[in-house]
Amino acid sequence: MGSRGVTLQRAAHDAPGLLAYGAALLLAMTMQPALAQKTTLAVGMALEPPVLDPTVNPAEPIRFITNGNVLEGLLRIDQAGEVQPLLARSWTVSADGLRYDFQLQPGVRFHDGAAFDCSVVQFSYGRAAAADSLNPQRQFFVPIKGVACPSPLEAVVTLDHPVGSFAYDMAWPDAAMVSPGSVTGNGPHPIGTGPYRFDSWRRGDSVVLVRNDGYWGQKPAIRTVTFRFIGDPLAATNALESGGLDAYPSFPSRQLLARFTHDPRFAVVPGSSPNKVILALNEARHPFDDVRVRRALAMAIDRPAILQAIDVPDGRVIGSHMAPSDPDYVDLSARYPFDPAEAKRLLAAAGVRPGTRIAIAIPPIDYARQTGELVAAYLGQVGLDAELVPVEWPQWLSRVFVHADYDATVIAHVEPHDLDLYARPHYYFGYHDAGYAALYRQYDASLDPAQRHLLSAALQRKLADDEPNVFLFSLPRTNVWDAKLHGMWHDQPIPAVPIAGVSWAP
Amino acid sequence: MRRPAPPRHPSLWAGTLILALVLVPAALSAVWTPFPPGAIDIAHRLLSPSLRHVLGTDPFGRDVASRLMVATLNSGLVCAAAIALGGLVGIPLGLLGAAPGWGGALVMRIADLGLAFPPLLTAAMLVAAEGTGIAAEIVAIGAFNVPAFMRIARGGALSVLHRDFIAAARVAGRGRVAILLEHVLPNIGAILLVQATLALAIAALSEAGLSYLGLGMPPPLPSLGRILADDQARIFDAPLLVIAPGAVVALLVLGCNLLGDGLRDRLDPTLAPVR
Repeated sequence: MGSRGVTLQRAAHDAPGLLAYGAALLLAMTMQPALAQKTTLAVGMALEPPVLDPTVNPAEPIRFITNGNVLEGLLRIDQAGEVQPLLARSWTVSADGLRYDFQLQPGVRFHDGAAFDCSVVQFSYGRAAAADSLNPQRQFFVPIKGVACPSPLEAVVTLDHPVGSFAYDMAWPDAAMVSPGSVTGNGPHPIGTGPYRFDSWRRGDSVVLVRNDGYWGQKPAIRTVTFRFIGDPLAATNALESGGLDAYPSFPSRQLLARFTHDPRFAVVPGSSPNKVILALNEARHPFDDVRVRRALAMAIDRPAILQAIDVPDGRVIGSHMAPSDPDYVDLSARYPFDPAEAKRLLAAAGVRPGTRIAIAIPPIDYARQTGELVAAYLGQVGLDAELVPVEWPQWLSRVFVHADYDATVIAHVEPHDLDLYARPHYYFGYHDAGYAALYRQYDASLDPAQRHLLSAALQRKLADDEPNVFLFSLPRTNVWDAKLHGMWHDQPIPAVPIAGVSWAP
Repeated sequence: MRRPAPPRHPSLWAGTLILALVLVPAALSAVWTPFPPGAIDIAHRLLSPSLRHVLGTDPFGRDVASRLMVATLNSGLVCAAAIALGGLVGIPLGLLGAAPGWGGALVMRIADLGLAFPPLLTAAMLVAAEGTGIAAEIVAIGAFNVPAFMRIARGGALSVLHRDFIAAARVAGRGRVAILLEHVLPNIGAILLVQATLALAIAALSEAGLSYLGLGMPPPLPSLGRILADDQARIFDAPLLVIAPGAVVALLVLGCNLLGDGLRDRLDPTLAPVR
């Protein structure tokens, strides 16, 4: 217990650390047997998920908790954004890109004891592709013509037409394997094949996962993980400082980070993410159906100044629907430079009268509130009357996202490689362009990486031209966690907080 | 009514002075502010107080003093409207409650039920139900003032109704409503005024609380609570951004309470225990 003495001494010398001293003493008294090796982990998250099934609901927090922890797919995306085997040990693709042979991992069982084999693949993909499927990425599964099971441990997926990103798509949390026997209960109590079992959910407070001792793969070091929902940045800061939280990936406030950068107990770790903050516009409504208006809005907003004002120095102005962390990224940020005079001219040419009202829906999160207020001020400078309408998340999802009942909204799109959003027939942007859709089909069907790269660039340029939304900036993340914690993901190539590779330094 | 000669009322003066300190600049903001309160100037963000910006600038480069002036006016108007609403609904109901019989009793039991809820909770529930907005906020704050006004009005009315001049008016053939309006109301005006002033303090606190929680007036209208919420994360690097709106709320509440106490002493000390 030598380290305990050192800790106490340090705390005692820490002038403002009387509380920390008390906490350390209390901890030392109550946790003595466990001090040898900590095996619990408390992770902070800004939002509580509405349900815990990523195959029926698009909310990001679901993926943080379940992706790779509770639920697993055939494939997974690693921290570098590469596709890796998971429940499929290996896979081969036919030359024409129409046939995928997955060799499945033997000896895999769901947490309720149900066996995992090829029939589960048939069920999971069939359910996701069904006409009444609620899967947020249903279009991933629509090209699947059939899943054949030559043997229980071999799944052969055939496609209608080649899809260049099929393996990548099947690595998304939306393609998780679910068991026919337990799938209906996955909303409140997800059952998967992952290294952690769902334990409990205290609404409004936390979700607890415990280690799955029957896991087919390598046994994780952490026994119990608690995901705590603390959206308020000050409360999150206090929870980290008091030891109530061990880690907070994607810390919600830039302003409070200084508290941790000077504290040796914590590591403040920058990370990349595919987050794109946009001012989404509803093209189904006038005047946003006019490209001149959309371009005018882009020119009216001083995006570098916004990044400075909201303290995101590592953010980058973007000119299309892609973040600089993506290998396909094309820098189009200079496409619409800040030019209020030109914006006014374009608005006048489009017949938009000064004083036109625009309601901007603002979800309850720091970046959106701050950006929204600035955007409204900039739009005011070119004569528009931007009204900010704060909405709660459920309202945002149903009114804006599902029913497209909105003028504009500030929102971060967190998925990687989501250029398909603009090719969807029904999406809340209301953007319909035959040229873009055709180009996207070409990109989607292409199997050649070099060609895909070029087509992706063309798609990005097309979006920059049409400016269906005002592309604002990328929002890299900053993580805060205990300096003794190892193995947390710095980057977020896909929404996930994988715990299996995490451990405490002895 | 014969009133005792007014003693010295330090709290009356102190309250008036404090409120003037806060409300005069607020009122001024209706016609003039040092800078437009919504004008962002990111090149000059987070400036320290200077002669140009007496309270510095906020993270968006807006002048803090100008925003506080407007926010105080906004908050003040919402509170005044809410108190007016509470009084307009609560006083007639309270007078009704002073009537003998089960009707009055029923009205007062409903008021008791209303009083059982903490004010801020009532307001937050109402806003959650109706949605945010200035009108919703006024109704929410006004609503929990209704039972308070009812109690005060009823108590005052009961103490007046058994006086001889009421009996005289009755004998003279005046109707019940006329008696309430002509004889009862003027005699309980003082205590109602005191109640309104004290209620203003609670209303100011509630308004700040609601806008702090994002349930108050919508952005970009500056309000004291939301300025506090927006900038609270800066308490370590730019403490004035948080202290200034907090101080304004504190002064408003303190001022209203002192003024209310002073008014009560000044107008009629015998009414004090009724509260």
